[in-house]
Amino acid sequence: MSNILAIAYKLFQEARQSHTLVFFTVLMLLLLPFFPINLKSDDTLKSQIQLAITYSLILISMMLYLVSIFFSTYSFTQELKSKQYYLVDVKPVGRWQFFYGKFLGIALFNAIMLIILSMIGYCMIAYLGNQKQPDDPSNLEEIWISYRSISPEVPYTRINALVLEEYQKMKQENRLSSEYTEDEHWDRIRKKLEVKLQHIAPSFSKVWQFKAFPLELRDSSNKLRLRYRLFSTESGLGFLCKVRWEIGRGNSQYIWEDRIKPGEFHEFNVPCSVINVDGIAEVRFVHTDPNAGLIYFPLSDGLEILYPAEPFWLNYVKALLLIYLLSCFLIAIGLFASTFLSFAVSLFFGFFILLLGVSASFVEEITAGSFSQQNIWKWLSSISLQFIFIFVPNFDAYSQNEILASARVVEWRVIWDSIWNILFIRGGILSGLGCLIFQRREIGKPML
Amino acid sequence: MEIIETIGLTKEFRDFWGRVKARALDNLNLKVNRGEIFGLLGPNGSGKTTTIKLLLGLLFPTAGKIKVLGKSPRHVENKKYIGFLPEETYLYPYQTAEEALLFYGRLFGLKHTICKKRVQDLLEMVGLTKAQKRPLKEYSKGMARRIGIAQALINDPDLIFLDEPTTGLDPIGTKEIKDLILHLKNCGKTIVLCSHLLADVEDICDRIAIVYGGKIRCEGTVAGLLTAPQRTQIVVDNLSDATIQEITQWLQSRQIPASIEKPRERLETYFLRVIQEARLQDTPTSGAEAGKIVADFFKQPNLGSLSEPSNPVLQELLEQKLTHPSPEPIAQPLPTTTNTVLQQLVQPAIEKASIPESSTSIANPSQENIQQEVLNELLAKGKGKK
Ligand SMILES: Nc1ncnc2c1ncn2[C@@H]1O[C@H](COP(=O)(O)OP(=O)(O)OP(=O)(O)O)[C@@H](O)[C@H]1O
Ligand SMILES: [Mg+2]
Repeated sequence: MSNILAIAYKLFQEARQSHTLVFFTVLMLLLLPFFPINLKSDDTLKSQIQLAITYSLILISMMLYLVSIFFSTYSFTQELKSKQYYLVDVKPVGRWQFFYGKFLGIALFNAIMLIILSMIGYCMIAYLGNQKQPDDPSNLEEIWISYRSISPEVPYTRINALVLEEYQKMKQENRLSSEYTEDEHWDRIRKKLEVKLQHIAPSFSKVWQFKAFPLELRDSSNKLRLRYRLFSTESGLGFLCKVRWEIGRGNSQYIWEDRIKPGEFHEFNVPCSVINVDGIAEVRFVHTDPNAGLIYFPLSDGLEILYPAEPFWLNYVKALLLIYLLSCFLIAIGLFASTFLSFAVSLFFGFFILLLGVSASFVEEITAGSFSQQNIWKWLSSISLQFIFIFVPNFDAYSQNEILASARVVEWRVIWDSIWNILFIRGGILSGLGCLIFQRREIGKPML
Repeated sequence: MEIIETIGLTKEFRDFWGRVKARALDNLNLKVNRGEIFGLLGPNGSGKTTTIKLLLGLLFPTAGKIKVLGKSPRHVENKKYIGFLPEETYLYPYQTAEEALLFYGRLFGLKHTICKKRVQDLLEMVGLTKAQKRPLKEYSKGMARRIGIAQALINDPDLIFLDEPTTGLDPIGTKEIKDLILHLKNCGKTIVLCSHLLADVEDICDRIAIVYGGKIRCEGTVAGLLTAPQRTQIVVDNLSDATIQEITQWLQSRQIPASIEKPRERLETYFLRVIQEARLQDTPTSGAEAGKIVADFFKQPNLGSLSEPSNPVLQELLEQKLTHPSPEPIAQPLPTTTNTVLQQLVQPAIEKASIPESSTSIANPSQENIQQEVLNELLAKGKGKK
């Protein structure tokens, strides 16, 4: 263990002298505090702070990702190229110990870097928080507290059963047109059904149940936030739809009426007393606008209730932890590539993986469904993409910048998931493979 | 007892397509005994460094077997007992001398206090205590070399590989290294030494092997290889045993302690002869071939006079020196290390070999003195003639 620590410690000596790293750090220290103060958003302080949060997280994460890739590939390959590793290899240091020593060193370096940068970022956000003008309508409390959301239960099993029933009925009646493939038929039937389940005709109403609120919330003075989005069949340009919400029952019932723009997210606050003794809140939407035609709430994000759960700083720390875990994955990538590639190639490889990871959602979106395609090339390329994404995590899904900026709680589940999936499984496989390759490499001769 | 053993060791360097680029070692059988200084000689590119790299596990053999300290060279635990100085000193430019030595010490798992003490002792030994806080990128070649030597000894190794340890060192440094090597030997360490400085090798090595084209051309004790049994030391007409007896008795009666020995040739001459023979046999080598004395492009005729000594007497002597092997037997120099730091640092690995008391029968004035005297004489003569 002492030799792993010695190798890790040496990385700090190296970092101290690396002009590239010093340059990166100075650049960050300049960018992080000064730029966001001049950010212009829609003029409210709240949105400016939200932007600053997103901005600082993106800046910190990019910095960490780039440093991870650069530092891991540089320090590993350089040592082999200039033969300094000769003197290490003839000492009682296993190759795997060297590998993990490097990993540990860069991971520690990243951790220190992250702590410094995030403190600057936090100070900057806190500073902005104190800049409130008396005429600013923002409710900053919604920033310093992060919310957990509850969505109404969607009866997926029932929907699936109904879709199957409908599909078989159409097949019997020979109503399946040959225009669509099998999958597309399923998709269409499902969408139609969902709209049917979620739509409300004028002067009708619909009730949702939001379950599993923490009971201690009932007696607190906190507020719930109901966040919704609706579409209307009659929504022309500038159309404002009348809405009426009835939340809870009996004497703790709360009523909210408004005129809103369809297609956008809207929010209003409700006292926590609307939650009943079973931790359930009942929400009723009453269609009171005869001009709106049918109103439809999308199943995925049409409706949710947010309740205050954690302070902002804890959420911030969690988001940073996720970024840190992803940076560890990139260290593993860099070191893995360095065991058999030269500096330039492994650096390129690392950046390529980063690019794939960052654009994973986009790539998944544009390649979705290409499995069913008959063309062998398309099929092959989609298979290889799927294969790559087994290894490359979706950076968007793991780093929760959006979630943090919209004041949602970053769930511990996501962190455990990423420790397990990114650090242990992916990092473990990569470092295991790297050690294996490194073990078989002849150090005493230059690379091909 | 063998500390290193190779059997049929072959190393080929191949390119990407698996074609053989160079055959650096060819069926090399090598044995190094515990406690000896083993010299590995050979012209450039003959495979010395390759051999050492194979013995350290930095390269893998194409064929053949290697045992170092009874195990494979890739056995990690074994490396606790090994020290290595590569042919060039590969240090981290961003560390200071002290940091570098501490780092190497920690790789052996040495306790911090022990490590610190050793580092200071070693720095004192190589004379760099004052420069220890400076980054290594500022070091001169010889200074870096000294740190290289220090790092090779930080674990108090039993087996030490030194690949041309004296390159870049000043004459004093060279002398110190020679003393150091002999001292290490007296502490029971085994040393494998590559060097082009034949005089040094001759002085300190117990056994040598001369490598050419990846093959061992000859191997044995220095004394054994350099003694010419067919010649007699005293250049007189052949003497009978009786006469020798008489001379001995006569010498003894005069109480002059003396020994009659077979003459030896200089290692340099011997080395050149072995390589010359190998070249005549057309042995393939992937290393340096016989080179021209001076490259064509700067051979200028008007410099010719400079290249030859103007003094005919001096020239005669030089020619003689080249053709006639020096007749005096070489006394093994005794290690006279007075460096207490060094003695403290290097613990005997097996047992401390007792240093024999100096009891050479005839005290020979050192060779350099003789040469200087002869030259002085010649210069005086030259002036006289004029
Ligand atoms: N990585 C390599 N690729 C190809 N050939 C190599 C490689 N390393 C060494 N060689 C060849 O192996 C032979 C032996 O080289 P080696 O370095 O062992 O020589 P050496 O005896 O140490 O020479 P020197 O006295 O110059 O240090 C040389 O011909 C060299 O060209
Ligand atoms: Mg060499």
